[in-house]
Amino acid sequence: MAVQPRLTGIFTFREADLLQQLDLKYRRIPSRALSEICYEDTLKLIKLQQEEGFRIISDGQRLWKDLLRPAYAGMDGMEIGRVTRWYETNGFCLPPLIIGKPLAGNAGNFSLDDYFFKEKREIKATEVTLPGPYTLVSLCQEVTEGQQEELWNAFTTQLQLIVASLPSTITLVEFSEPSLAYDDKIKKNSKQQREEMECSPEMLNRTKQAYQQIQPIISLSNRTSLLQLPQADFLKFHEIAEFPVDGFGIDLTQTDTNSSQISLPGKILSAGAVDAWSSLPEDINHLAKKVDRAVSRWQPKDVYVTSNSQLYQTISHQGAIRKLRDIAKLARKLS
Amino acid sequence: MIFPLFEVGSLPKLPGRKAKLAGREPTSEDLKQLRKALRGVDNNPELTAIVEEFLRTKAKAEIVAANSRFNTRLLEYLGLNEVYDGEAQRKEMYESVAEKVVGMKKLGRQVSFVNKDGFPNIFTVYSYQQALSLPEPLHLAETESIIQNALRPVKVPVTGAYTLGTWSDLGKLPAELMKLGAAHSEARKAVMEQLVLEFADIVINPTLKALSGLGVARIQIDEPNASAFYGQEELFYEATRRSIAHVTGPELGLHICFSNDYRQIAEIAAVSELKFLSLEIANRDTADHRAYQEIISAFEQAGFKGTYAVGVTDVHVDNLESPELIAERLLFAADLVGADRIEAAHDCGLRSRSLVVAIEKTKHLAQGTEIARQEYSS
Repeated sequence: MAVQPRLTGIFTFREADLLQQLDLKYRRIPSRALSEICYEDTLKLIKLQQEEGFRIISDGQRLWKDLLRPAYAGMDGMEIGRVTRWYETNGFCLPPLIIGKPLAGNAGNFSLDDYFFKEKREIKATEVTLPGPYTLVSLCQEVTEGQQEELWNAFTTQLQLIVASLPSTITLVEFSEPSLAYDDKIKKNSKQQREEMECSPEMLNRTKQAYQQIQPIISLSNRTSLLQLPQADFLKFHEIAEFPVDGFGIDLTQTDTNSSQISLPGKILSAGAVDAWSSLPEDINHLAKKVDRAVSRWQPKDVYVTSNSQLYQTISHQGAIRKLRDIAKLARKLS
Repeated sequence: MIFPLFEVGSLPKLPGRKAKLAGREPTSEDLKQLRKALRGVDNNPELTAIVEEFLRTKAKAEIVAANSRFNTRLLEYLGLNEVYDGEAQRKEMYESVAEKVVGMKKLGRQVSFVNKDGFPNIFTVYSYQQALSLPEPLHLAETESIIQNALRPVKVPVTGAYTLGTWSDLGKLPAELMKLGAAHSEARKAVMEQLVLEFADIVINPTLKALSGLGVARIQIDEPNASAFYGQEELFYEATRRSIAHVTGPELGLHICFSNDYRQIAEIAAVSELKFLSLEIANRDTADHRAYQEIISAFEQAGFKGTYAVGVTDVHVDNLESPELIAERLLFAADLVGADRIEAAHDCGLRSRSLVVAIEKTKHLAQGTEIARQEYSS
């Protein structure tokens, strides 16, 4: 079986580019478009993926700022919200702040092209990671009573619109759902129970409904979908394996690959084997055994290997590059 | 006086400092920003003289020293009750500690987040290599220089052990534990706990003891990560207790910002040596100000008896909160616990703003606080 290496989510910037961005912010260098710095950085990332044998190519989502903003930037009834911790990392995100009736669409000057280097023909990404509907709904700020169903509908429609409008080169769409595991953890650990958003069977069911609405657009546009649970024991959410998507991003640092609790015939396994939370070089032989075990237990039709969450906000650029190479080594070892 | 103006921490570095430290002349934009900043303080002669000295000198130590003096005098000019130097002698809150601790290795810069303006906030991460040791307590020379210069009482910010430990890359120890059969999350948790407590015992506690001997008025332990990780509250409490063990003299307090639900860690109130809490709240404020109520009530219910330095301005936006809004937030907080237990603060340090914006934000803070004082008195 040919195992494909791939990246997930946003990929961190080169240090020199980060410093240049700060110089630009403080006007220490002449005015220059921020997107130009991102573009040069992205070209290097794409070249590296090609050299390492990646066929699924990511542009590192360098223009995304965080995983959430492009997904809701075009919507009515919301604006960029408050600085909020990005799960259990040293990073932050700016989730949607609800200011009116949420509606999908392309409000204001929003254009999805602005996030994809549309004018730069050298950059042909073939995959993208979007926030999943559960994560978008759960992170909303200032949600009024009874508004949650409106949010589900609006975000589901928005994700449908985004999928339909993606650049034609993009054939793999991953939906990341970090909130599923995180909300479950909060529920278990919190002294102040968060009743408004628990990962209950009803909520899982509502999430499944959203994917049932999104998947036909994926299929119609000849794309492939993945549902990723970063930093989560997938076995705790094994019902998700029944969701109508083409494959699953499973965090193998958290999930016991000896378990037969899930089965993935006809599905893709995107094995999050490389640890995005540690700068250490990986033990490729050990990881290969783990992925092999998962494949033999869960019987997926195709296998991708990647990191257990995006190589961003948990790791420096040098560390992220090492991890990218480890992903490639692992894929070669398994193929 | 009610509602004293509270000093939180960092200020932006003086425009032109980076160029000067690299041996270059400040750019015309740097000079423009400096002039604009000075106009913001009505071209105060003393501040102007320090800027002239800053521009004249070529020695790196003198450049940094001038920046430090400028910031201290600026905070005094703006009316803050206690002062420091806006951390002008430090790189940033994490690296300034990690680089001086034996056992930590520099890795590289990491993105924290990309702000609304499209520009990233970054920090340099270090990796835990071996048991920590500290050649000498932190911030002593820096604090002595500020004490010499300051006309007001000095309050020192010190990065907290919990944040230092949880901010770090954990190095190879988790992998070694996993080889022995530990699960990934358990291995990470165990090493994180070890590192946090090493920071508390070996780095922060000796530092606080040494600083307390210098005669500073207040020491603020900065813990932006205080409630970042669910289920680790006890570790945060223990790290705080160990950090302040046998530290006497200055008033001790905590600054907590941009974490998750603060209610998770409200039982820090049981650490009775903590006399003030500086809290980021404006960033999460709404029209009904319920965030102030929820957060302050949680600490009150947990038995906190000290003062609250409530964040009434958002440090991640250039927009200036109106003095009226600042006053409204202060009076709302005062209604909850009494005006004598409220201090007026920014949400956090202003290092990510330009100097011009930092000055304007602090002027608005002072104006809003004055309105609140008058309204409260009447």
